This record gives sequence, structure tokens and C-alpha cells, in this order.
Amino acid sequence: MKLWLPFGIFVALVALLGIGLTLDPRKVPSPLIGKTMPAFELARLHDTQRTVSDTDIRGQVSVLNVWGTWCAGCRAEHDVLMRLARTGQAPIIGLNWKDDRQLAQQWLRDLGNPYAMTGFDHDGRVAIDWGVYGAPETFIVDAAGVVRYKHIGPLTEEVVADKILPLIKQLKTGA
Amino acid sequence: MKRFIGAMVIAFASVADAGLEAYEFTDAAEEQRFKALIAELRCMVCQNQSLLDSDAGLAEDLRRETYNLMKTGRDDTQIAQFLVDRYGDFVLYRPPLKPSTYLLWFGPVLVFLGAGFWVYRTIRNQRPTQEISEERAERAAQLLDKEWSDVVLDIARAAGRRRAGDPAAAPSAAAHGYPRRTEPQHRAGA
Repeated sequence: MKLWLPFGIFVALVALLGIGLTLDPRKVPSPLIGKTMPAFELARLHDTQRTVSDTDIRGQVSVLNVWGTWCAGCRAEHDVLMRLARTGQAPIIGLNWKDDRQLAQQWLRDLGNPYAMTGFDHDGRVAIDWGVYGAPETFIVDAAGVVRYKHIGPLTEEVVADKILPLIKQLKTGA
Repeated sequence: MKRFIGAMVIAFASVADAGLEAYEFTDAAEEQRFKALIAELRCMVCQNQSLLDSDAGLAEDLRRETYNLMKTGRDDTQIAQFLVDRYGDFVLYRPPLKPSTYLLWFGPVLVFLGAGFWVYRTIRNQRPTQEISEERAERAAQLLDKEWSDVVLDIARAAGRRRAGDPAAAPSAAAHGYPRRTEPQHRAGA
């Protein structure tokens, strides 16, 4: 029948749009993947006299987590981060983004501190270099300082078990 | 009413550009350049707004960043590249032309050409659904040449003959056609 061609096009279009619906437009792939992490230096959240910089992260596989006390998703993933920290697989570096120092310190006192160290990025300048456009965001950086993975949105147990931990292990053995 | 319009003008005037008062420009050209630049850059938070339109916190940060880059003498390409390096091509409202975007840029043209070819082929393959006899075709030609007044007259005459019981004016003849004429009448230019 002649109508098979339009019908076929229709089905293909529906399939394409259907796939489009399952994608999250907020999850934009980061151009940083596979590149050396941006250089930065920030005062620490707990100690203004000391700094956190990209050189502190180099030398071992690390997790960099962008958070703020104003961010509901960060509250949601906090327990997951605590458990990830307890596995001892990789240090978690906190990037406290556009936040209030007192509130952030209070948050970590109340909920526990999963971070090996936390940089205080009050004006968000470092976050721009990391291509951060929302919190929470989580990066995995290998021992050479190359960004290997970016997770956008709150971490869940599934993401940690299926993506984060296997990748950390793989990067550790590969290095 | 005048008050109302005035209030609306004030309300909407502030919507147009999000918080650009904070920036100082050496001249109008520089301000225009800045506005044109941030109008082409996407706010990653709101996604369907440009940095010029958006009131989001990140948009404000990126506007400031763009402003600083401009003030330190970078050209538009360098500023756009600065943001692309961090956020990806998605920050550009105009996607760059490269192999991964060929489909995006040329897809619509391909669809248009494909559809055009399909229409062309369909029309070319169309055949008349039924052959028309020579006699009917001739009659059709005559009907089209006739003046409408003649047609009406013919109908009236045929009806009159029928009423008079003229066997020559068979109903079928009156209903289906008019006496054949060897020469069409009132033919313009003939």
C-alpha cells in the first residue's frame, strides 16, 4: 500500500520523540571529561588561612562534590556521600558553592562531614571554571588530574554502586 | 487608564534586560556589543533564556564573567570559547558547524528535498483514472464553447417539446445533452 511510507515515517518520528522524552534536558554533557581539571585555589571552609587547590587533589583518584546549604538536592544526597566517604575508596573534596560560611559549617556539624577538605567558593568563580551550573554536581578526577566522570544532580545509592565505585576501582588499578 | 498603561510600561520595562544597570560602558557601542554577546549565550539554569534575559544567579555570574573578559580585551570569539570550554556547545544559541551537528544544520534541507522529490514522483506517476470516449470528449468541448443563454434556451425548448408530446424529445436526450451543432457559436476571435 501507498500509505506504508508515511506510516513508517510516522512510527519513526514517534519513536524518536519517545526516546527524547526519556532524556533529561538538564543533563548536559561536560566538555571537561577527558581533560585536565581546571587549576584553582580556594580558602578552606573551616580555615581561611589554609587553601584547597588542584594540586591537593592530584596524585590519587578523588571525588569532587559541589554543594551548598541552599540546595535541597545536596541535603538529599548527604547520607549517600557519608557512606561513600566511609568506604575509604577515594577522598571527597567539597566545593561549597555560593554559600554562607557559618551556615555551611553548621550544616557539616549537624549532618556529618564527608569531605576530606572543602573549598569555600563564595563568588562562584571556581565553579564557573568547572562548568558547574547547578548543585549538586559530582566529578571524579583520576590520579593524573584528568576529569573522568561528572554526575549531575543528587547522588543515589544506585549511582554510587553502579558508576562511582566501579569507576574509582578501575582508575585505581589502571593507574 | 493612563495610569494603568503607565504602570504596565514601568513593570515591563524592567523585564527586558535583567540587571544590566550594574555595568558601566565606555560608550553605547560597547554596551551594544555586550548585549549582543550575552543574547547569544544560553543560561544553563533556565535553558530557554539567554544570559541577557535571565535573572538566575548563575546567569548573573556569567554576565559578570563575560563583562570582565570583554573589559580585559578579549574578542567575541574568545569569550564564546571561554564558555564553551566550560559548559559545552550548549551555551551557544547558534550551534557551531561541525561533523556532529551536520544533521542539525542540513537535516531540514534534506527533508525538504526528499519531500519535494516524493511529490514530484507522485505527480509524474499519476495516470488518468478512466479513458474518455471520443464522442463524450467532443460533447464536452461543445458544451464549454456554448453561451449559457443558449444552454438555458435549449433546456426550455426541449421541455416544451416534451410537454407537446414530441416523441423526438425523449427525456433521455433532454436530460443528457443538447442537439449537436457542427459549429460552435460565439466563439471569440473565430
